[in-house]
Amino acid sequence: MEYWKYRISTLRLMNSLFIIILIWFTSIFYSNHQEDMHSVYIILALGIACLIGVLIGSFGKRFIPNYQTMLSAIIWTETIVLTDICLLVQFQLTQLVLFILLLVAIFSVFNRKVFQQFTMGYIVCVVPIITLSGYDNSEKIVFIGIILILMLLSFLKSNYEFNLFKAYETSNKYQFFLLENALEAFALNEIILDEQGKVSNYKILEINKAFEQLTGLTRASIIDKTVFEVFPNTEEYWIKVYGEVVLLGLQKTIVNYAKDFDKWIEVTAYPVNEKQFCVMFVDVSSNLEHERQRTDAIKIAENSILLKNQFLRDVNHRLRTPLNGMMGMMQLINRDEIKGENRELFEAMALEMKHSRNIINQISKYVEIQNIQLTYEKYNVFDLLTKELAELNQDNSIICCVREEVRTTPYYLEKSVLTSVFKELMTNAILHTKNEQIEVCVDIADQTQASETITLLISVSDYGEGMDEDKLKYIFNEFYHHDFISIYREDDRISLPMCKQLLKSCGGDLTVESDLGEKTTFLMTLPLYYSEVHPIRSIENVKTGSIYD
Amino acid sequence: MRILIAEDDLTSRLFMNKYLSKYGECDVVMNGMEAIDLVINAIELNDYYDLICLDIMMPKVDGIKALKTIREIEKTAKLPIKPSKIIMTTALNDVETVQSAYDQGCEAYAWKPIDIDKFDAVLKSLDLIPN
Repeated sequence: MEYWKYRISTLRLMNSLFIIILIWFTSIFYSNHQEDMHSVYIILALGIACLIGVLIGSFGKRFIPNYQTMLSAIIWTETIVLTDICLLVQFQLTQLVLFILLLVAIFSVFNRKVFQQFTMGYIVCVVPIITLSGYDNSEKIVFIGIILILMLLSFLKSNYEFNLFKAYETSNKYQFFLLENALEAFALNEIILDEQGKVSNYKILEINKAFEQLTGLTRASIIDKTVFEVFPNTEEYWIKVYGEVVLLGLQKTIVNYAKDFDKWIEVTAYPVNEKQFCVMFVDVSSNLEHERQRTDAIKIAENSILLKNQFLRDVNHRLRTPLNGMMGMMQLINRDEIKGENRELFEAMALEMKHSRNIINQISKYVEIQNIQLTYEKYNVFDLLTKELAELNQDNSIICCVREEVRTTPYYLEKSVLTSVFKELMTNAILHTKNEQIEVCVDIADQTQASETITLLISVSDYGEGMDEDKLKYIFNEFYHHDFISIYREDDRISLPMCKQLLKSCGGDLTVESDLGEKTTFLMTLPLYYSEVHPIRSIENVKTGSIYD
Repeated sequence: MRILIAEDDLTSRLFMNKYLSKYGECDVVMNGMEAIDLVINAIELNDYYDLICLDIMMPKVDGIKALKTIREIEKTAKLPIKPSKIIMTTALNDVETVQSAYDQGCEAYAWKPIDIDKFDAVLKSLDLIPN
């Protein structure tokens, strides 16, 4: 049953409509044929009283305590007073009966049984009067027709009313089922005030199964008892909080330790009326324990990363220091005095030293990347890339294709990641291309749905020697060097694996395609943001890759 | 030219001594504390250094602290002296360290491994050796 479709306000509206039609009909009846305007005025006054009654019935509940008792008193007082008035102005008996019926009609608005009785009474009293009156037959047919319409309306209203009450029953049944079987413990309570008007205790009116499970107590041992009777160790804190909920009409959600349950509980309390409040409890002890374990795990992971980086820095420095000394010494050796095979050995040693130093530099860069703090600021991508290209010393012709949007629109982006990776890709392309062209294409990925980010696509293609599958397979492996010229890079450059790692830490990526002997294309992707972002550098980002891979 | 070299690593120390000894007499120490002691002695003997090479990462007193102390000593010296040219040498290449060294009053900064051609160019620019 779609119980939510039925509203008590709709029923009241129908009642009001019914009464208004009735009054209208009766007033016409009298004004047209008896020319007795007194009765018309009184009937109209009754109609106004009826409407006021409806309004009070609809809204009075919110403002007037015991409004139904008060309303009954007003209506019966009006009945007596108006009956007296009718007698004083020497109304006919028929009119008097009609007035009384109308007064009953007002009351019937709020009472289903009275309404039904009134409807039947009206028909029983008015139809014979009309039938016996001196009106001609056509008028009688009109009046009786109107009365039949009223009866139909009455029937529809009663039917609606039946469905409404059935809906209430269904709703109550569902609500009871939901609350009774809810995972959250539930309790309906009523505050108890002391002599000073302060909340000193509260009585438990209703609970559900989850509450029984949480407390380990049965319903029978809890209901209609005060909280101090059931839970003697209840802290004053809870009484104070619940008092605020009821007296101030606030909803509150708090997490606190409950001694009686020996558990951490999340409590949501909200007011029901001026004395009662509902409380929903959730045992969050396990959640807090999981959260604590998670926090501990993150701390351990962060500490281990810090320790690892510290270790790498330390090793780096210890290796670098003697190596630097040796490299310095080698500069002082007069190469010209070394001849033949010894010269070859010397040069090989010098090269390997340089190689060792570069590996150490790579470790240093690796540690830097691990600790990089991503900062997003607004830049024009095209301007940044143009500046990087201008700083590169190269003889190659560079063909650029740039999407118009990239030329004109600034975005929030990680500048250092974009520029350093782009610079590395360009340097790499220049190294592998001898006086041939390099293609740079800057584009934006098409979006299928609205998003706060778009993806920047930059491809750098060189027409050098290309790479076979073996090289491609390992090209993004940390410290894998094979025979790449890039391993003998200058200090300020970063390796391709590090480029990939940097891009990944920003939500981008780096991929490569190559045809041996023809062309190699690196494609980098990087998210661009329309608005300011505050990225959180997560453990997942940090732990990608290992130098021991 | 009087030269003071403060370097904790043996090989680097030997290299610097060997390389710079062709330009003048070199005193070599292993940490910042010893460097400061020699600076004080040299000022008292009125035989101050023309060039001081300080490594950044040294035990006891590091290069930056030694640099700061030496500049303070030079300012408060009883006899008027010509301040030394101080070149920091280090494997650290972070911008903050470089900036810190310049803030404390060094003349130049050389990354290890020292490139002797570049180092010579620096010495020339500081008028320590003839062009």
